[in-house]
Amino acid sequence: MSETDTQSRAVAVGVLKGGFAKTTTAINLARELAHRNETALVIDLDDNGHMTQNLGFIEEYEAETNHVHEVLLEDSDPREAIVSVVDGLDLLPAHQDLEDVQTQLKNAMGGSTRLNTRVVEPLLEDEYDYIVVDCPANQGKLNENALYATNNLIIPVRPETGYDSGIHNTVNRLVKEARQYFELDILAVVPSGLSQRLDQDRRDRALLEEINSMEIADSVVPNFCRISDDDWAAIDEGTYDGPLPGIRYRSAIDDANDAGLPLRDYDDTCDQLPAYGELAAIVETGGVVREREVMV
Amino acid sequence: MAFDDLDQAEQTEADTTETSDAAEEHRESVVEDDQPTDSDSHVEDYSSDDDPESSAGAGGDTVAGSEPAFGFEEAKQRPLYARQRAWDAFEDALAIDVEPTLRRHDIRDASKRELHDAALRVLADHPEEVADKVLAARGVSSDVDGDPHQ
Repeated sequence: MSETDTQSRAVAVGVLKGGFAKTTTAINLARELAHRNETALVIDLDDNGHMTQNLGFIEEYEAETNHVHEVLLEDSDPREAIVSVVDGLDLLPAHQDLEDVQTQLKNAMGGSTRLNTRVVEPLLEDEYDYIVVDCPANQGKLNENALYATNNLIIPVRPETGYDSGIHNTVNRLVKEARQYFELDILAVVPSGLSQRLDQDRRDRALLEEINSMEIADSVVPNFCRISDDDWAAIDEGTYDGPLPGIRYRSAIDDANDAGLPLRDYDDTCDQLPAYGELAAIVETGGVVREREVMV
Repeated sequence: MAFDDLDQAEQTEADTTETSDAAEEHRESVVEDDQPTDSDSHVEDYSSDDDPESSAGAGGDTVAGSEPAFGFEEAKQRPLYARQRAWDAFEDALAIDVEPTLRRHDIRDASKRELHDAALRVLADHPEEVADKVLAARGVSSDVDGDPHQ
């Protein structure tokens, strides 16, 4: 597949576990898509509303009228609820009563298809080439809507206690369930928040080893965290001179979050920005474009 | 380990054909039951029900043809590197020639895994033509036997 083979696409960023940098991954992926393609939309479907609130849209989050309800369950135009984050990047904000939306979707006709018919289908291609959905960390109608509307999933993971069960639940309760009824491609598995030395037997290394030893690693592990057997040998010998794998912990990433900005708008010199750029490229092309042959 | 789950799930190909309204209704009722263990047992059912060797040969039969010839747990996803126009031609051939033929045999739900699996088996049966294409792309005449450097 050539690198220029891009097409408009929607993608969900989801994992059934909190604290895996889901929101950070979603906002920065969307920001890089907007940077590379002029426009992008990010939809905050996470009932905790972290993205919406961090970006400063408290008023929308707490508004009397639940705009997400209006769009998904009434007949409102989603464009009326969309706000601008930074130049080119728009947000369909979350609302504090997303739980209520989820409950009502259970009884609504086509309750799993509403995000697709009301938002993604009308806006993808016509208004935005790329749409990113920040998913809730629990199973339910909102997650189903996100997966059905996008057909694509990026799974973030952090080297924290319980990452095993987070991935296990995501695969067994989201991916396998969804695939019984519609197409769902896993575009990438993205480890972030890495900070430990890799030449010691610690959690960062264990996570990277696990990800890279998957049989499907070549399909779903981005170049910025693909490590070959030779790389591991070099790491152990202290001769590895490649870039450190994964999205590394950087205070700029946390500080950008606190400042209510995507990373690019907070510090466009941050050395982790290219990793989000590769994620954007993966969404553009619909898969990882391998930069080099990796022998494992 | 958790990533084994992902490996296992991703090596299988989703059945992408159930997008009709009826399938959607089915999905609504099943997904709402919210019983994750259902999916596991359902997947395992496939392997016990289907013998890929025998059912693959019985594709045209209307009874055997009511569902894909093999379950998605048997299909393994692999990266396939091809130029866009070759891929487009491949997908066009499937959509324009292969699927209409299947429809004439009342098969409307051919899954990607079945089509790709069959396509690979056709290739494996015609290795000379594959070699010819590679040679032609490199500007080497396939009429000359032997030394590939000629």
